[in-house]
Amino acid sequence: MSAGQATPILETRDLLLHFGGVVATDHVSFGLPEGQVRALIGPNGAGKTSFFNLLTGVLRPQGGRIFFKGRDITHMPPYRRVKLGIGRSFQVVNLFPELTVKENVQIAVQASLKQKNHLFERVERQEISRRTDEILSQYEWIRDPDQEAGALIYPEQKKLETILALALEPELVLLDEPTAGVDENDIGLITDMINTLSQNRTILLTDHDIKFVMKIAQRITVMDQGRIISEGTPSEVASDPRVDECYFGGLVECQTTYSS
Amino acid sequence: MSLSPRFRLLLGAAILVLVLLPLLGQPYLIYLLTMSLIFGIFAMAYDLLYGFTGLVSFGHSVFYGLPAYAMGMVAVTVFKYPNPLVMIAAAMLTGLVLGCLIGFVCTFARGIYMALVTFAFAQIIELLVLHDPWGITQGENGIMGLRAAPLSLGGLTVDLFSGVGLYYLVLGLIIASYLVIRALVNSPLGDVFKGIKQNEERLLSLGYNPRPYKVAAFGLSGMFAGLAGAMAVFLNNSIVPSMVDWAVGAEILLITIMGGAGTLIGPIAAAFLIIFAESYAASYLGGGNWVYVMGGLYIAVVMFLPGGIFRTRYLKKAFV
Amino acid sequence: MTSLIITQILNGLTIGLIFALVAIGLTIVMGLMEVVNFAHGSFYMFGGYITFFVFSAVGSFWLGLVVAPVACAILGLGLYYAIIRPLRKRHPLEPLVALVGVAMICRQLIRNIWGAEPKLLPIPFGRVQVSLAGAEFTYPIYFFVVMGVGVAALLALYLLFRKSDVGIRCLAAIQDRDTAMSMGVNVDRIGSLMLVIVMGVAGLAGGLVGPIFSVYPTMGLELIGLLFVIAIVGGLGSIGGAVIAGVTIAMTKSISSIFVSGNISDILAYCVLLAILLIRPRGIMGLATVME
Ligand SMILES: Nc1ncnc2c1ncn2[C@@H]1O[C@H](COP(=O)(O)OP(=O)(O)O)[C@@H](O)[C@H]1O
Ligand SMILES: [Mg+2]
Repeated sequence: MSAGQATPILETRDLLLHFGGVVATDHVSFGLPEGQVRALIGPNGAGKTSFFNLLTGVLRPQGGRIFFKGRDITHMPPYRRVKLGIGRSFQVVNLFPELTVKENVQIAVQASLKQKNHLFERVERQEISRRTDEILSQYEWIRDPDQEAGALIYPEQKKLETILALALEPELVLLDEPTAGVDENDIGLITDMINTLSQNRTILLTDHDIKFVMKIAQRITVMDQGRIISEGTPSEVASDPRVDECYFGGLVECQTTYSS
Repeated sequence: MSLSPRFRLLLGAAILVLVLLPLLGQPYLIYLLTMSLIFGIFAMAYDLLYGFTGLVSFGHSVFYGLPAYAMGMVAVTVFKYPNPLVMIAAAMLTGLVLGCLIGFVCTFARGIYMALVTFAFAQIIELLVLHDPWGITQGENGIMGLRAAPLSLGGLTVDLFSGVGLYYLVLGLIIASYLVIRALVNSPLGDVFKGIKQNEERLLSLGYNPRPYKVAAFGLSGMFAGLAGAMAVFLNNSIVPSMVDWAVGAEILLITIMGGAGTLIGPIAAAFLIIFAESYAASYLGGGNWVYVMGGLYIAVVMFLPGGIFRTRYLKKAFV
Repeated sequence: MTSLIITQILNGLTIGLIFALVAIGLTIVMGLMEVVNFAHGSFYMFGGYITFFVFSAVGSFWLGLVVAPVACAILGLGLYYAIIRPLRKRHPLEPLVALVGVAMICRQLIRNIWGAEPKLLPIPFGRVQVSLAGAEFTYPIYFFVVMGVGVAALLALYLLFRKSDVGIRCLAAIQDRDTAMSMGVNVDRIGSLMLVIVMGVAGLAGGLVGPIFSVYPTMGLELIGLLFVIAIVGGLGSIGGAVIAGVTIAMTKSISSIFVSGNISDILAYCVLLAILLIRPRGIMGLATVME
């Protein structure tokens, strides 16, 4: 799937967000063609998570618009955006800590089955648990689905976080640093998850692991201080003078800290 | 989730004891047991809202008291139609509708502010009941002298105003309520309720609008609270303004927390503890001094049994 | 009629200031420690009874007004170390249950010592001729004194939170506890200090109302619900908000009581609260996210 030809599934125009004096998203105009795997990279505090929060409705912009599949979703509440087909994972693990792993997945599965239906419409319980079991069985590391999610070790919680986002089966998946805090093997696992997924979905992800990003992304957007400073294929971005050397050095450092 | 075998045994034994206790033939004991069971139903209703959905209500007295007045309207003051099934249905329906209405309004606010809206509603309703501007609650006197035909349930006939008959009815109802609420909290809908309690933000990001679910939790809680209120009317043969006193709502909150929010069985146990402690302390200590025992009990349980009598963290799995 | 309305406005102002004084203590404890202090009303009651006790023992109401806050402050410290501190890591509703127990015990204790009947303190000073907006009437001087003391106490609290180091730290902790703690604010120490201060203030308020409402065992419990609403509607940690909310409620009650019976004026007061809660779901001056 080559980029640029497909219609943009997601588009932002002049998107603006500031926290007091800090400009987190500085007039960002961004387009994402359907079916692409895009990485959004940039140093810590560049505004990647804030951008995700704007896209999903967790935060409201002070200016600009957001379009999804041609629809203006700027003022739509978060849950309606999910129903339209935007799913996300969080950088900082954000689960239901006292529910079991299985129940966590169940909530997401239930949501995906309900998505196009009415609020209280009965979704067959068997269907929910069948789908849940199907998802759970894909991951060997889940040994005890009846364990409370809060009791999992951090890398497992992080993986569960990604699983929840995927269980929604959204058309557009936003993954906020899926590899942060997980070890080398898991990065392979997550890469596989994303590769399987990307066959019929659009993916936008942020990550500090530059090797992972270079491998998985079709195109890369670089953000710094709330602004998009470069965009292109992985090799284009790597050789872009605006994305200076020391910045890439920083990323490699990051990668070593995370994987240690 | 299923019950652990040991716990099933315990529960079975407890039910057996409750079934056999009337054989002792002590009317006052029956009265206290019935009252405990009624508060047990009420506490489970509260637990559904607070323990599972994480919503705090400071005005639950209205869901207990107003359905009682609805019964009074059906049987005495307005329709004069003392059919027991209609009366009970009216009470539960009132609880359900009132729960949805108050739930709808109060969930505009969140957290402690939401709880305060329930409190303001409770105060307004209590004052209205006392003031009786439309002549249906009979003010401070309340509604006395209810009559209702015996309730016939598939061959069984229960005289609702006889101690033992009502006791067995309420025992049956609390078991039924427990099974229904337990099935509810373990259903997909229950998962969403628990999700609201634990992480509402995440629920939004999974595509749920939490508000209708919150309203539903209020409505369901109100319905079971209304059932409890209805049974209290039969037990006391009166409908008095103290049923809508916000202190009743406060007491059920205390009972739920003492028993262990989110355990269902814990709050029932706490209801027994409080009703019996209150009654025995009152009869042994004159002049209102039983309050020392109750106050001390509240303090002691919180101090020494964190998470309630049925310590949520450790035993929740086994007990839900 | 005009004089009646003005009298009721003055009454509303006096009572509203008292409400605010007590409610501020609730918001500070709630904001700082996430403790819903149900026993707060008991300290208001203690204040009233201690003032009464001093008055009946030595004959001086004013000495009572000095002793009451000091005694309540010490009792407050006791409450902090006995109940609040040991339960500080629990879910906020657990200390609430214990504090309800404390409030029940306090009320019965007072009842056992002084009986259930109200004790009226004689109202100091006489009445003064007032001419305001074309109306002539007499009004008790004492009410003006209460307003004066109330305003002075509120001002002192305001200065404490705006000018003193510990007050500023306290406000910071109310706004964002974790950040404040990570910046070296000792929430524990500030908590005990604040409890001493706000309980003293509640005691003072209880003493002040003695000659107005008389003192009786349920005076605290009766008020606690309303106080919570004022505290939270006003906004956690906001003195101005508490004053606005307290005076609004007291005014609604006192002015509407000219036209309708007491019950209806209470209903109106709660309707006003309901409206405020729904229009400003975070309180009038809400900096509060703590309790959500
Ligand atoms: N809730 C918030 N309040 C204030 N500032 C914030 C908040 N969230 C993010 N920021 C600021 O916005 C900027 C962008 O942060 P973020 O979006 O988390 O960046 P990234 O995800 O790229 O590391 C940072 O300077 C951060 O300090
Ligand atoms: Mg980030």
